[in-house]
Amino acid sequence: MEIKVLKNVLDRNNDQAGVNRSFLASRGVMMLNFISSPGAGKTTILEKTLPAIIKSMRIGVIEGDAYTSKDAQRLQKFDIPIVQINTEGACHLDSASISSAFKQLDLNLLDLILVENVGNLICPTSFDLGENYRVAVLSTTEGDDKPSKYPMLFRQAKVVILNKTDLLPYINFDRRSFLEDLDNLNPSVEYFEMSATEGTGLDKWLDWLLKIREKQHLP
Amino acid sequence: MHELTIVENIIRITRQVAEENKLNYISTVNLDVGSMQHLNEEIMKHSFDVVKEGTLLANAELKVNRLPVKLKCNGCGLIFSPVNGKYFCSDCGDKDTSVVQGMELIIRSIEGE
Repeated sequence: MEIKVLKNVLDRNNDQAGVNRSFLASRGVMMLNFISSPGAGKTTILEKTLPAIIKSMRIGVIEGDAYTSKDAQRLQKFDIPIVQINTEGACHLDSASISSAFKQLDLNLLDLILVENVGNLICPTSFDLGENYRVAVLSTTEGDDKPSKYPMLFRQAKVVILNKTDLLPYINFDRRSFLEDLDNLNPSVEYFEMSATEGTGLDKWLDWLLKIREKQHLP
Repeated sequence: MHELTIVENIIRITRQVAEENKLNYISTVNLDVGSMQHLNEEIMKHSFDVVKEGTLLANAELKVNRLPVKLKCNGCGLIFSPVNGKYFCSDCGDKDTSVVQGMELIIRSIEGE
């Protein structure tokens, strides 16, 4: 006999993500989930972002890494709470691992949590962590065709950052075609361009971060 | 390779449903997968065959039903499928659209006795 089930396969993860979201809201904390390929520049973006906003808000970082704590070590100089999650090879963070990380952070003392997911354009996309904003980072060297190849990520993301713009003169990244594809897929996305290593183009991104943080404080 | 996580969840949920319905075995799991989900069917079926060992799904087959992406225009209400990655309304051109189908990852039903 056939039995109707009609259950979301990721119900457990989604339920916990909902719990995480309410937990954050009750403490007035905002959470961003950074998703990109390995090497797109997530950690460098955090390295350049943190010193600029550290005086305006209290920040915690959750670092997802398949094996090492190298990324977390790079951020230790900022003297902020950092929780390292080693997924031991797994390609994504999930809402349960974030919930465990919350226990190591005093959420009453934080305004913003930045989550650096495991470097991967596919797997993390299926796992809601309970974040307020999903941030997709793409580096120019990965090619301009990524929004059309990974529609789930680029459609769901509320923010897209194009990084490594300093390399544009040396590679065949068609910026116009990239922007057209992104606009076709997700016209309401917040979009920023930067070269995190050069420290250029970060102003608009930082302004946006400060702005949404202010909004969060409004009743 | 999040296929393994997905499959582990499929086994967990279907075992629970089978127990609730007093099934002795499950012969088929019917799974709806939206086309926006990046899931490799072969990897998923292979993972399924590994994880199902020793459970009441041991002889079960995982049947994957792919659902095409469908969008709804929030301007004129048209339901349409995106062509060439264009998620704006194919009729009135409105960019404000909602995905009404294509993100699914749903166990539709199980078959067994």
